[in-house]
Amino acid sequence: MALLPGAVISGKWSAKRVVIQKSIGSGANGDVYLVRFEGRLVAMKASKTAADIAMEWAVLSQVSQKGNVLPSPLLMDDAFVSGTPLFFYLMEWVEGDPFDVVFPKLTGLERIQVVEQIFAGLDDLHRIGYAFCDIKPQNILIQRARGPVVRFVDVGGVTTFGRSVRQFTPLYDRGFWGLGGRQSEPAYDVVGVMLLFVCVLNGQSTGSISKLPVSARQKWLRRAVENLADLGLRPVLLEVLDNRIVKADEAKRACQNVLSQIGRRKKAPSSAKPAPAGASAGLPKSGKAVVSKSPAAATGARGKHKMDWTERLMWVSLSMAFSAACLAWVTILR
Amino acid sequence: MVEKEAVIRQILVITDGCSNVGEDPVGIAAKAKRKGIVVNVIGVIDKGAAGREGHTEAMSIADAGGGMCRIVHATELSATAQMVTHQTMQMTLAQVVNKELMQTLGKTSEELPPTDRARVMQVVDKLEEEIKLELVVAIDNSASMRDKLSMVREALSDLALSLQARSGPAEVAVLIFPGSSDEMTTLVQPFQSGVDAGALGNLLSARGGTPTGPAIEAATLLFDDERDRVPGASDEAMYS
Repeated sequence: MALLPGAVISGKWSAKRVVIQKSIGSGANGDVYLVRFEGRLVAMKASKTAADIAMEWAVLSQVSQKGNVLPSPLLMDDAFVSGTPLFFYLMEWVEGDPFDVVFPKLTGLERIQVVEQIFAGLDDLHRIGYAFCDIKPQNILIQRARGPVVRFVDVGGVTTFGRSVRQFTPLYDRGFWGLGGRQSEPAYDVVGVMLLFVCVLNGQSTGSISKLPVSARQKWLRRAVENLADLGLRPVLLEVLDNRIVKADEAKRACQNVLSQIGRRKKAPSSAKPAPAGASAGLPKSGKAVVSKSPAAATGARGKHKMDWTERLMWVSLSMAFSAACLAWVTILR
Repeated sequence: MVEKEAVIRQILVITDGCSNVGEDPVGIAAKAKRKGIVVNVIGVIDKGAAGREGHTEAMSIADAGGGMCRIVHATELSATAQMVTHQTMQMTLAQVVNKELMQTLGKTSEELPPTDRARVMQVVDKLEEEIKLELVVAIDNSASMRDKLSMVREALSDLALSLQARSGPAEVAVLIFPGSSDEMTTLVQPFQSGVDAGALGNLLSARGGTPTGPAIEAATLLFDDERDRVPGASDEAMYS
């Protein structure tokens, strides 16, 4: 049931009006529209089945209490459209282009920033006990102009830890690659990101890989990771592949380390590039500053909160280094 | 009410063509539905050429059996089997819960205010994770399926992976049609908690007919036998 631009829908329970602007996507369990609601543009997910909408709304309103990697929920309601019931919810409209469109065009530095943000977003979700599960290019949007900034859309796959994963895409599902079970846990998402990265960069399609037996898939994957041109991310993804990184915050920190190393290297020949902002305030800070700039915009209050302890850690280590240096000088001068 | 020993019963038919032997599968699927068994059908196509008849029949079987029908390429079989099972389980549970709501509140969940509805659906979601599932997979073993059987095998072990991840118990039986010797169907694996992919290696194909109707009937009967079955007894003995 496609809704045309200009169609007006009035909510049965809220009596609020929604005006359809255009269709911005459709999936297995509903269509997404850009709509005007209370004077602004928001996104509307609509379906003929009440269950899907209610289920997604329940998840969205639970996970949105913290962090805003996922769009924030606005309203759930239903309406009658040409005689048939239509179930829908409204959420913040997330702009950006799908991962597979933007990612290959990014610079090496931007790629690491994007992967770091994806892990940071997953970490936020994991902290409240959910895994994203349905990692795929269409569900991860990148706004390049602003940073880059990463946002997740589609909560259809979001699952409480310990439950079985119900919605997934084979190519980005660790079970498909024989890399683990189909249970919602942090490692499920972390492996998913690794698969996303490798498959998108290799232009891999499900068709050709699913004809291979599992052992051949794994061989292909290992070779693909080992041959990655992204030297900074290669070791991180290898550790994910080898199960040495199984948590999103470990992966996030590994990416941050890579970023800070790049910042350090950049700093030496007094680089004129504007990208690593704040790269002049001492060694450990340079990397952190680059990272925290963009996700802070994306993760809002939560991001800021997290920055607090990393910043504190940074200052502690800085002051310790400083006092050690002082001590050393004192001993030498004596 | 949904009790601890409640069970969801499903038949999943994987086929690539039209039935041509035995009773009409649509009527038999309707009979299964009356017994509280949901019949899902996945039609496997080669390269676009689905065969309209096969497609229509698959849809009618699923319709009559209260289940879903999906027509997919062999490579999508794994993900589809999982999705169909999950969605129809959810559908069945939503129906049960709706019936219950109807009796206690005189309303279905669709008539509840949105926030209450969301809460009801979370209950459905939890039930789906925990309820016992009994599934019979009926695999078309006619000659045309020969080059797709490796995909079918993979789809089955993949489905087992999804079922293992659930916290509730799941038992799967597998039968092929036509059967190995002169039978319409052969039971490859009786109800057991996983899928024995190795047993499927012994599938004999290349027999002419496609007795879809008799296969659904045999699958339905498996649920009846199931009552006499000693739970958990001699699962692997037959095919090791």
